[in-house]
Amino acid sequence: MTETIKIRARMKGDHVEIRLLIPHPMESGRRKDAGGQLIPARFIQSLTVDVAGRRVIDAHLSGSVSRDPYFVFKVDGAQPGDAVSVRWQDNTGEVQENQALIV
Amino acid sequence: MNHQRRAILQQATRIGALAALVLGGLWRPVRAWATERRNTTAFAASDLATALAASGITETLESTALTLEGPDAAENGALVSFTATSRIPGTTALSFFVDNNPLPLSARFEFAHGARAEVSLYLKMDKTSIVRVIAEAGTAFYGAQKEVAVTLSGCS
Repeated sequence: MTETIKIRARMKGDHVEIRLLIPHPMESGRRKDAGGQLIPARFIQSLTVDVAGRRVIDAHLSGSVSRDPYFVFKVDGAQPGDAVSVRWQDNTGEVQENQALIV
Repeated sequence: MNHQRRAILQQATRIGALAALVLGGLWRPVRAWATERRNTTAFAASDLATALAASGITETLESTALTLEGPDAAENGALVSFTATSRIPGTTALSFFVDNNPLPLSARFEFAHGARAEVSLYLKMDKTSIVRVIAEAGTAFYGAQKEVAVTLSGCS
């Protein structure tokens, strides 16, 4: 997977709004291809978001989260310039990380 | 070995065994929490009752401070938008369940260090179903739900 996690982190008054778009097939393992064969499960199981080195979101997902997951979170106490780090791991063990600064 | 000494030894063995049991019982969840925090039983549950029970959710309270926004109807069950917001003080987690999905527990979010107990996301829905969000605050669970009519299954 060459596409990476897209992170938008903007101050909205007293909080930062963090929007994530994560390219991932999120195959639940229950879908069949055109030939009637089950498509193997491949979905993000864990997702974490850190702001300025502190874990703000710790999430566990299933294959019921839609393809290319999109999330919006809101965090108080953050400042412009703080780093937002996002990391996911899927059920096949693949890991991806990305970082952005709050604007 | 006199009787009194034997009795004391037996007592000590019993206490030791009990301590091992207690420690074993206490240590196992602590270790599980540290290394594998995913509640695999709850995520593997194929019906709502089992998924809720495995999540430790026995009773849910209602509160106007917990809301779940979503559509009344979705043509495409592969992409259904939801926003859950809890203004219940001390909310530390939100879990999403789709009652009629093959695996109802869809996602669980824990919030800390200033994160508001609020999340927007898209879920897949197999068919028309109640979708519920459960908020955890202290030892209490709060629930909010919404029924969504689904035209085209998002799971097949």
